Amino acid sequence: MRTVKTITTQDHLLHVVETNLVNDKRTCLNDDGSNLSLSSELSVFIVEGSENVFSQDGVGDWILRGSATGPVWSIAQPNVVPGSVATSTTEICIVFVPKETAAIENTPGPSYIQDADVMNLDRESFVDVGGVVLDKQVDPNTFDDNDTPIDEQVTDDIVFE
Amino acid sequence: MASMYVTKDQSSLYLTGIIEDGDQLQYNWSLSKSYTLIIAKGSASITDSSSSVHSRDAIGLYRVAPNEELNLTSTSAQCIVICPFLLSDDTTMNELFTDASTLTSLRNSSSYLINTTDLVATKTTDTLTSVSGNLVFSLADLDSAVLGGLSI
Repeated sequence: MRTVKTITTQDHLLHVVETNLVNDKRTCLNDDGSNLSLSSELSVFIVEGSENVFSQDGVGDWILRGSATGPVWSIAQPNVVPGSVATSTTEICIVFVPKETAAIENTPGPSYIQDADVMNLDRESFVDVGGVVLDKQVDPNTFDDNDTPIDEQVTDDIVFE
Repeated sequence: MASMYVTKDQSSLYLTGIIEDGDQLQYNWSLSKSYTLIIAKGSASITDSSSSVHSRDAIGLYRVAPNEELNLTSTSAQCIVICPFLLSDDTTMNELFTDASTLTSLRNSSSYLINTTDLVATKTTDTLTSVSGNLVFSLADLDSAVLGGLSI
């Protein structure tokens, strides 16, 4: 199972992504569940755990490109359809989205981000704007693009001040 | 000493510290605006200017107040902390970089300031490591790290 928790900070939106099963899948998704590429770079810090890194080729086949083991920085590239599969029982990542209007609008994320009006939240508070739970395991060597329904949990709580 | 990695992407600058148990990381500078300290792994205690101690466990957040220098001690075998800054924030960037030419080069560079491996979907750094001992990270150290990384 993979959980995503989103928190706003002074200048960034943080997605804290934690998987607790080997072979948990990670992609960027459109609202309709289809895979998509990023429009700009996105930094991800893999705190611990390991993953196999995939991207789609020109005909939509997933190609294994290598692996990464934390702690490392991983900068997702624009105009590539990315995917990864956890190869350790626990993997924890932090995704950094700049708190700038264009970046928020152009970076794929759970729908609660649009509802939270992130740009107008108090800069000095850390606000928990929501979470998502996903459950999908795939073959770590071949990938699989079957996606499951998203269970969103909107909280909008201030977690620290 | 503890290790400090300086990296960037198109929009942000990241200071990543890796500190071993009992070792200290200090910033001997402060900013006029608050900024975020993320405890990404392990745990830490932060001592502010009034000598109050704030404990945080991963994944935890701490607000470094305006005009406060960071003074942090790792309270776990390995503590990893990250401070992200927006490159577009003129106030903060001008305080971090007193040499305007360094800031201009930083903003215009496509370098990540660190060696990466190309995995097509991502550019991934080597595993970050720590060494034992305390570290005082100065603005001169930041300037050197950026200038050294621009050619990577």
